[in-house]
Amino acid sequence: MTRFGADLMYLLTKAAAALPLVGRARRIRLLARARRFQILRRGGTEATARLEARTVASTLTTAAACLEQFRRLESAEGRGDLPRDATRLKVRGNARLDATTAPVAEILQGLDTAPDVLILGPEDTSERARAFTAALIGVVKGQAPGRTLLVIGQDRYTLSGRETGGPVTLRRIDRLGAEVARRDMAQVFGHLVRALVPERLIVVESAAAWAMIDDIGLPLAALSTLETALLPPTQSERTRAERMRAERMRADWTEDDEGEADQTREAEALCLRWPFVTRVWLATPVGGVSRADVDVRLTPIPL
Amino acid sequence: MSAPDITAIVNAHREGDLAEASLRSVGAARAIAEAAGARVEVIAVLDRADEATRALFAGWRAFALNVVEVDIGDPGLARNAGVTAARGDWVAFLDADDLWCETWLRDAARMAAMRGARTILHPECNIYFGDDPYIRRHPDMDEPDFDAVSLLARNPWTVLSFTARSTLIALPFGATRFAEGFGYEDWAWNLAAIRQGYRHKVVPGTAHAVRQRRRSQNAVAKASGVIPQPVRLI
Repeated sequence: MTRFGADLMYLLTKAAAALPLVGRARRIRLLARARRFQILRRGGTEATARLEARTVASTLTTAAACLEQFRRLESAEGRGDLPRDATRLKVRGNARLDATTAPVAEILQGLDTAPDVLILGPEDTSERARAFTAALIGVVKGQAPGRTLLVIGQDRYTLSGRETGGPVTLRRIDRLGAEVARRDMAQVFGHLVRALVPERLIVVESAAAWAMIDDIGLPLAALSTLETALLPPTQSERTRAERMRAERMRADWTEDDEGEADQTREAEALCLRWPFVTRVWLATPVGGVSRADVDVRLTPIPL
Repeated sequence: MSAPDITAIVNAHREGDLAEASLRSVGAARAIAEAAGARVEVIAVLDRADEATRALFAGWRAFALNVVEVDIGDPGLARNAGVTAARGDWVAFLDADDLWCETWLRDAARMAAMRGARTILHPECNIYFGDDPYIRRHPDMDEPDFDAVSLLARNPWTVLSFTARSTLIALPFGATRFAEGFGYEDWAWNLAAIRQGYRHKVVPGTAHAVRQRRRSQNAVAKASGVIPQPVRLI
């Protein structure tokens, strides 16, 4: 069936089902057919479409029969809170993966055990960010030898095992589109943390991650520790960050000696906003900007 | 007197006369289950109930009702108190303003006998009534496209299940801890059960009617931005 055909049949069967004089059994058949066409117009297979249609028919038939019993129970007391016709109600509820859970399922599928340490949000789109990610991983591995790490971010990680001091699992969450990805990323990260419940969670703060990390909203007792590592943004990231966070942040990012003072204020503000953060690290670029030269110094900020 | 096969636990708080239809739905389901050979006891757990609710349950004469009054203030822990008082091998929960279809206990008991104690049974669908009525179908974990990871984003099942009492003793409901950011004790329990290898299934041809209230526990949890207690899925 063509897309146009499915669109047309969906509209026709939905309209027919809405007609007031259609009997209950016929309405159920029409709604089931409409569901089949709805799946087909969304690009689903015929097998899936027919299965969905049978499910809708079964659900509505059961609901209609049971509703009659419920209405008898209520009418005995003179109440009328229940709907009159189950076939006029929307049917909801399918436990299927969506844009925020599909990436999590993919990540969990490849894991044998839950990691001890979960690092969320680092990027490697620039040499500076790559060096930062490698430095962060190195510090974490040094502090927690033998513990397993999982690093999750938006970007493709090309760090080698030698650079990370392997083995480290690096995964990418496919970007869906700029605004959608940012909104979905927060939920994806939240789902991941709840599914893995790591001993340590490190969230990398960069200008691009502001909005998504704010959205996670994980309560304190969900984690044993929550740490955040700050990497100063580039000029373009700073411009975007300032636009996004103009009302909340007053610090004027610089990359000279005054930058560290700004970053300290930023860290303090972060902890005030997120009282469940237990440790904050500042990341300061050291050396040049080429791949061979750049390094990042990670300094814990006392809280 | 021989022990019952099924314990129906009705959880009440301040439903008042709304509970009368719920109790009559319990009575209808009990009668059909007993006609099929099952022995059913009914326990009502009144948690910080008001006078109207207390009076309704105290005056109930249609069938034997064991009323247990508690002062807990938590729906999950109140259910645990009901399980403690229960004697049946199987437990079925109902909130005192919701309704069971009349075949619920009979059909769930039949499926439970076939599937065993590692199964948690739900009706095929719920009819939500009140301000925004709709039907929610329940997924069965044996459906081909079911994925447990989707439960991180939404809870497809209510707590009004038919479950082995041994399961509820081994896996009691947790407390709601809004101040710490946790809620949805039913969602957390569903996830924890899956983590421990239990399977959620549906009983075809059955439905519950669930009353929506503005100040329901779920509505408060949603407004508070709480999450269910995290459960490691691997």
